[in-house]
Amino acid sequence: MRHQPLVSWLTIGGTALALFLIMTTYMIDNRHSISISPETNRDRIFYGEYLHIKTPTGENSASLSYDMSREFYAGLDGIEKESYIESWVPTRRLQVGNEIPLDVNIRGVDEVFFEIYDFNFEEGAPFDHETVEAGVYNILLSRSLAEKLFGKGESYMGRKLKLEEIEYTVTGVYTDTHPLLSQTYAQGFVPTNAIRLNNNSSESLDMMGDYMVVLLASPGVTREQLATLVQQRYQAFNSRPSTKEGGYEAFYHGTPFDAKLMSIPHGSNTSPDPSYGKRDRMIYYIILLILPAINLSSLTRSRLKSRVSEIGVRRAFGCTRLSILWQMIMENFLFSLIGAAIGLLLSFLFILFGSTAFMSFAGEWTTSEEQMAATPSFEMLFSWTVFLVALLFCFVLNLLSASVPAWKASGIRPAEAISGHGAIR
Amino acid sequence: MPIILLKNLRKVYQTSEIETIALENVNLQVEKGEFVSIMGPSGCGKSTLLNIIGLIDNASSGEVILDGQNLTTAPDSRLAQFRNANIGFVFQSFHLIPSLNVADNVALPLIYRSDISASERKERVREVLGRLGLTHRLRHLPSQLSGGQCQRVAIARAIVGDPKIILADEPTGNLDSHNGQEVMSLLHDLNRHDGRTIVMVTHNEEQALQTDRIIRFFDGHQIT
Repeated sequence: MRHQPLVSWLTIGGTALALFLIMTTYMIDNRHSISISPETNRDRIFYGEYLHIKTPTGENSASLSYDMSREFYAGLDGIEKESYIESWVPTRRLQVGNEIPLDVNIRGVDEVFFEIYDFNFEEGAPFDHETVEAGVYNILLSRSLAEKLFGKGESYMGRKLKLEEIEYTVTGVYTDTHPLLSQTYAQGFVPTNAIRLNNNSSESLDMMGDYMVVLLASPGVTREQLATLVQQRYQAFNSRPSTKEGGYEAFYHGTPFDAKLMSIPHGSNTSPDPSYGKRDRMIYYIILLILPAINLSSLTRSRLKSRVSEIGVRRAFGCTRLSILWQMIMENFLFSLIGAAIGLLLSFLFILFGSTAFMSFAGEWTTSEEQMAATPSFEMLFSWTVFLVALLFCFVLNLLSASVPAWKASGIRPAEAISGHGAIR
Repeated sequence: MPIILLKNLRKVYQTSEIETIALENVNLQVEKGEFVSIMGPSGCGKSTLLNIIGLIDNASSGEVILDGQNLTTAPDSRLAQFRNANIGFVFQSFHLIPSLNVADNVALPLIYRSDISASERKERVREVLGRLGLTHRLRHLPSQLSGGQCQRVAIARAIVGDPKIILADEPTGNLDSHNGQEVMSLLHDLNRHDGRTIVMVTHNEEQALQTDRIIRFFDGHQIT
């Protein structure tokens, strides 16, 4: 590095850039697989949403009604818990006293929702079954919303507010969930029956509504296993005499979905395409691999060219070809380590401070200002596995780019190398 | 038995267009403890001969026997091992490694020996540099040294491994007369006091006359 600072730092920079791009791409690609509180069981959580159905008057597709949710998802083998919640997080008007009303994200959920997800309650407790059944006007607030409404440093239990003109009582305050956790983010929760979710549609015989299902599978149960069971439910529904006579047919689209599938853009009458974006990502990964490989290979050859004489001298004094190769590999390993550290730092800085860029990169669709402004937290992003794999890749890249020229350089006759007539071919 | 024995040595450089005979039918003996000069006009094959003796170039035909060992067809690793243990090089352009300081340059031959510990290596380096009056330059880079100092460092590097043979290719070629004299004194000292065999290529008749024997070459042929 002392002798060839420019070339050495270019090599390190190339490695840092490769690692930065790999880590950033992988993090963006896999953000939906990362388990983070309260979604700590992401690998066991699956979702049922939408109903696509043929009716006598045509085809319809929308969120499920409560009854249809249970038709297809209740009591499946291998499911520990099932939760029936509002299918999306709408903006609702909330007012405290005579203060200016706010538009906030409030979601209707049941009590099982809080058994599946790992919310941290700082005050109070989640809803119980009776509260949800009866549609009691209780509300749970995120810490930040509670502070916004009532000020800091006070207990919020029993406080009153109006949600869409109806008075609710605060019965719990939970630690804010990260806005990028799309299945659990909301500024507040109310019992599904309190907000009277749309449970039927006159056109489709109680089939369409505002529900979705969240399933917590037992350990070891796969999505494919559950999909087979759900598909059987669809078949059973379609085989029913009343369904046939009514001229109905439900179309199965591969549910339940895991978090990753849920993140792929899809309509209410289509399945998410697992290969969505795969081709583009593959091209991107290949470019990420090829460009630094070319860069590193050229830089290594350049570094070695100017050191041919040195290699000749070393060989004259007893250095073997293998020793030369080992020295070059260790030098490149050092460059990889330094480059990796810089690349890691760059990826953190980019994602932590480049929130808008990250959101557009991540392709998140949201109307929430908080979500748009959100940046992922450290624990969402950092994975030792990702870093070590990326480091290994960079090391292998450096190894391949160094070892061939180094072996060739070591093969030049020492006399030729020392005299400067030797060339790496 | 001579420490250096060359039999019917021939060296040909072949390109796609031209065949150049650098050495032809060279038969040479150097006894242990001798200080021998090799002289001749430029391009007569002196440096080529030195490189072949030093096992850093290979002959096209003939035999190279050093210290009783026929190394003509020895594998690369064996040659490296022999060079490391028995041969020290001093080059006209010094060929110190620019990114290493004086101590590390001198230690170079010892790095490739598994039987020498780091502390012993350090000790030997200090000892050799002390002998050559360079201990105050341990941490200096070659770029911070004068020509004479560079060549003394190169000599230190050549002898740190305690080799039996020193091969010097125009060791004073890039030095002024004062430094040149100093280097020659060192080489004579190594020959007389240490008993090392020295083969030196030189253009300097005066320096050559101070050695035990002069071997002259012309157009690749040994003429004396």
